[in-house]
Amino acid sequence: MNKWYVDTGPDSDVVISSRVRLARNFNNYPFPHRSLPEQQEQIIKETCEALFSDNPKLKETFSLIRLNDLSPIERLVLIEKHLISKELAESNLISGALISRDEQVSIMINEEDHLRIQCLATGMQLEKAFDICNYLDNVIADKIDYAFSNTVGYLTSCPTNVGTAIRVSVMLHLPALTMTGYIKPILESCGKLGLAVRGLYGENTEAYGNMYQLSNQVTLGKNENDIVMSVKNISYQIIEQERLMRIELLNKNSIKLADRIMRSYGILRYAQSLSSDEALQRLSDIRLGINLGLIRDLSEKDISVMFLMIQPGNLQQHEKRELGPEERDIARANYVRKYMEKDNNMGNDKLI
Amino acid sequence: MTLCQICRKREAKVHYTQIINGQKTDLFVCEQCAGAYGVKIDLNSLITGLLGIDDEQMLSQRAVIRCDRCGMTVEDFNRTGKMGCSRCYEVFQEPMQELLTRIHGNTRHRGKIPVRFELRQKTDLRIVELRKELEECIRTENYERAAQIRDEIRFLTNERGGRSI
Repeated sequence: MNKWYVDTGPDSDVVISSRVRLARNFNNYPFPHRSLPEQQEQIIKETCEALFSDNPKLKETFSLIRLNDLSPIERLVLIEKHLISKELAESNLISGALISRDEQVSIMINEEDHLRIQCLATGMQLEKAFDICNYLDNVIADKIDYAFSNTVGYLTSCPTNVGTAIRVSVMLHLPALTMTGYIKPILESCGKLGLAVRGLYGENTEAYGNMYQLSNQVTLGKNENDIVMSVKNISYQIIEQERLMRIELLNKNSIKLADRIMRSYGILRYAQSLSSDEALQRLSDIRLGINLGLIRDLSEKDISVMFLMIQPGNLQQHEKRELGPEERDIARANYVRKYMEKDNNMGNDKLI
Repeated sequence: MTLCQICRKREAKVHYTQIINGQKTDLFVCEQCAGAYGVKIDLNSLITGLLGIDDEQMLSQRAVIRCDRCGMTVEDFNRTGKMGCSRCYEVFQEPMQELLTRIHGNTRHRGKIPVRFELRQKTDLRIVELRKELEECIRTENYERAAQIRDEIRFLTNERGGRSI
C-alpha cells in the first residue's frame, strides 16, 4: 500500500503537510500519568473494542503497536514519520498506537491523554484531516463516555488543550522568506495572532531545512471549524508571501539563486559523507529548485522520500543495524547518491 | 473594573485565595499590592504558576485540598502542570477558571459535544419534565397517568445507567 507522503497535495510548492489532532480522555479512568498499569491496559483494550466491534473495515485498516515491544530504532522510525510523539516513545506507561496501513492516521494511547487521534495529509488538506479525525472520534464516542464538561468541553490532562482539544497544524517550506530574513517578523506576527511556530518535530525543536510548523494555541472558546479556518487563512497569507519572495529572488538575482540550488544538487549527487543538517538544507534547496522549474529530473515526492529516509531512525532501519554518528553520515550520503543515480526517480519506491 | 481590596485605587489583577483551617478567604488585589504583601506573581510560568504564590506556608495549607477521586493536590498540579482526572476540573474549578482565562482568553466551550453526553443531557431534561408532570398528576389525582409517567421515568433512569440525576 502506498504511504500517504508519496502523494502530492494542494499547494505543495509551499505546504509540505497538514495535520489535525484531537485529544480525548475516558471519563471513568484517571488521566494516564495518574493511572495504574491495569487501567492503562484496559484503556488500550476498550479503545480497540470501541473502534473495531461494529467496524470490521477499521479493524483491517489499523494495527495496534505496543510501544513496550519496540526497539529504540523502531520507535525513532515512528517519531520521524510523525506517527508517535517523542513523549509517547519515552513514556514508561503501558502505551500503544493504532496506525493505519497508509500511515496517515495514528491513534496514540496513553500519551499525555488517553487518546490522541491524529491524521496527516500532504499539502494543504486540513479539512480532510479534520474530517477523518472527527469520524474516528465519533466511532469511539459512540461506545465510550469521554471526560467532558458542559462548560469547558473536552477535559484534558493539560489545561492548555481543554475545550475542543484540537491541534491543527501545517508544515510550511519557507526557503525564500528564510534566506531574505523576512521570516522573523512574519513568525512574530503569527505569535500575536495566536499561532505557535515550531520546528520539524514539534515543541522545542529547531526549524531544520527551512520547515516551519504552524499550529493553533487556543483550544477553548472557538469551535473546531473556526480553528481550522483561522490556521488555514493565516497560512495562506504566509504562503503568498513566500511565493512572491521566490519570484523576486529569481528576478533580482537568478544566477546566484540557481547557483546555490545546483551546487546543492551536485553535493547531494556526489558527496561521500553528509551530516543531517547539511542534507536537510541541500534537500530544501532542491525542493525550491523543483518548484522554480530549475530541476526537472526530481519531484517533490522524491524530496519527501529522501527527507524521511536520511533521518537517523529510518537510515538505521534501512541499513538494518545500529550506526554511530560518522557511519550515519556515510550511510546518508550513500542513500542519497543511490537515490539520485536512478534514471527515472518518479517510480522509485524500492528504496523506501 | 474590580478595585484592589488593599489600596482601593488600582485595578485588581490578582486573585488570591487563602485557606486556613478550612476557612476560605478570597482577595482581589493589584499587582503592586500583591508584591508589597509578599505575594510573588510569576507571569512567565502560566501553567505551573496556577497559585502564583511563593509562600511555603500558604502552599502547604493550599495543598490540603485534594481531588476526592484521584487524590491530586494543588501541589501536584504545580509540579506537573497536569490535572489528574476529569473530577479535578470540578474540585479545582475556581483556580482553573482563572487559569483558562489566562491561557485561552475564554472559559466557555463552543465546539463539538460527544454524542453520549448530548443524549444523556436530553434524557436528564426529559426526566425533570416528567417529574414535574408526575407531581401535577398526583395533585390532580390522575393516578392512571401518574403510573405511566413513573414507568417512563424508571425506563429513562435505567437507560442512563441507573444513576439518578
